[in-house]
Amino acid sequence: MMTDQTLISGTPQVKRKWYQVIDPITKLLFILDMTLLSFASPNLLLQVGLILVATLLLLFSKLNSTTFKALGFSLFLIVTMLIIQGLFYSHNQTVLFSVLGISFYKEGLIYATMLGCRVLVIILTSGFFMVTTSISENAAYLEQSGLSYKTVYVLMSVCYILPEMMRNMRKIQQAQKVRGTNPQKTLIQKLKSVLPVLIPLVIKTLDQSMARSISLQLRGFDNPNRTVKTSQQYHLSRMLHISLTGLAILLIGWKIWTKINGL
Amino acid sequence: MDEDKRIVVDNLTSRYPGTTQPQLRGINAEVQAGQVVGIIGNSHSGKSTLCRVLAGVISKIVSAEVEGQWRLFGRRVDDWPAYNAMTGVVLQNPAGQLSGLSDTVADEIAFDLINQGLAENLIQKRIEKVAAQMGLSAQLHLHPESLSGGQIQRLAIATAIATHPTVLILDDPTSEMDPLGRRQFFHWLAGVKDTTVLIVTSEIDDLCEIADSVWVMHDGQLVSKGTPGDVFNHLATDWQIPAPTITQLAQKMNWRMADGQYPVNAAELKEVRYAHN
Repeated sequence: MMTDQTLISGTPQVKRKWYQVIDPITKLLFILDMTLLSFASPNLLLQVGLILVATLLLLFSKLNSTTFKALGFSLFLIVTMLIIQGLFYSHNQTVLFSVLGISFYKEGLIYATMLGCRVLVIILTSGFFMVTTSISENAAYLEQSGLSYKTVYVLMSVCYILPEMMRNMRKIQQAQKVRGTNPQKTLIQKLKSVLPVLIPLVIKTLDQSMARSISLQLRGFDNPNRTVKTSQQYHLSRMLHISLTGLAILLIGWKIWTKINGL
Repeated sequence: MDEDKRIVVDNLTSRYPGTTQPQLRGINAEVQAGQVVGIIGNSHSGKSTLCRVLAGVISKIVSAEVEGQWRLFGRRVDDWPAYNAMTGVVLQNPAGQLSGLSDTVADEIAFDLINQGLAENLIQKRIEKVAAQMGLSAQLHLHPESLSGGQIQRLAIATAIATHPTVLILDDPTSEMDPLGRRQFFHWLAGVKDTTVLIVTSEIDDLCEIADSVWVMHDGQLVSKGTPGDVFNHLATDWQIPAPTITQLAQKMNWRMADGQYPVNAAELKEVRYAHN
């Protein structure tokens, strides 16, 4: 028996946004294709184009604080890469500029820029997937695709165990701060403060997982009568899957061919 | 009496692995269909373990040594799918009961109903009904994690009652509710029909208003059971359980009912007051 999820939610029929009519698999294939495209060519202009496409997708979908945090962290990584490669890349030959007598080399900076662009492409496209697809939508889609609910749950559990661990860590650290045992004023103190909470953190998270497992079984999780939820209706799913998979195969083939021929 | 119309607990003893003392010791009890039974006692008295056994968590999901027998309306835990289908359970940590895969409160309530394979129109009706009963109608489209502790507790109860269980097992279901939420919950519980309810709670005043029977747990033993009046008029001091506020007031005023007992709820207090006037 098929059950309409919209009806279950009691959600009134509202016009869906463009990114809500794209199925999760298409979005995952899109990340794969963008990543492969980025690694297919060392052309910086192509990288900039890919970043532009991914940024526009994000801007026209929705942005949230998590995306900004991920972007902020990746920009920090890229700047670090630029400094390290600009100074110490093994093929450095041409000095591009000097700051306080320290020389930055062109080859290292180009190499780091290329790496940074690829990181950005992955982060931006993954961000698009994350902000436009909910865990439950993925779960419903995978279940509808024929996976058993148990398998789906195991796959999806990763999506909530990590945030749950983060929440637990914040709670433990806050409790320590309140007691004055965890000052966390400097970066070293912050890093040091993580170590002593690791064991209670893992135990607490395991305990929560155990409680959830008990509860799910009590709630008839493995009942053979379970109905498959109908996920949202998506547009052109089959055609998009075939096209994007074809493109991925072509890009992998292209990469192998260029490697073999030394291009 | 016909065993199919009772919950029967027969000499039940249970011990978790790695512990020397059993958490439950020789529990014997019976509950008639449709009754509300309040289970009270101090920490580590065995209340939650008893709930876990009756819910089938022990020994169907969590391993523990169990001796003795128990049957819910003639059904044993060995027949797990049927046993599980007839129980609705709310455990101590309500947040841990959420599936984690629902975007809305409505989806969370639907989880149990989808698991039971109900038709979609019935699912929608049940969601609306239980949400109204638990005061969650306005929250149906919210994400479960955005709810307060009390609201999550009400959601956990809503998921338990959505499947229309024959037996409802509630382990401290109001611990995180505000006074109004708690009062509304007990008001709802008073009107529950056709469901046998076993509720662990420390809200003794509220319990005395609605319970048909009260069980007192102490050191893993069921040391007293009976009507709220019988139990609270014969509390032993070593159980360290306070009498209801009404009983304490009546004791101070020496207001006794015709049978010599002190009142335990508002109706009995009124009766005593009329008698004294």
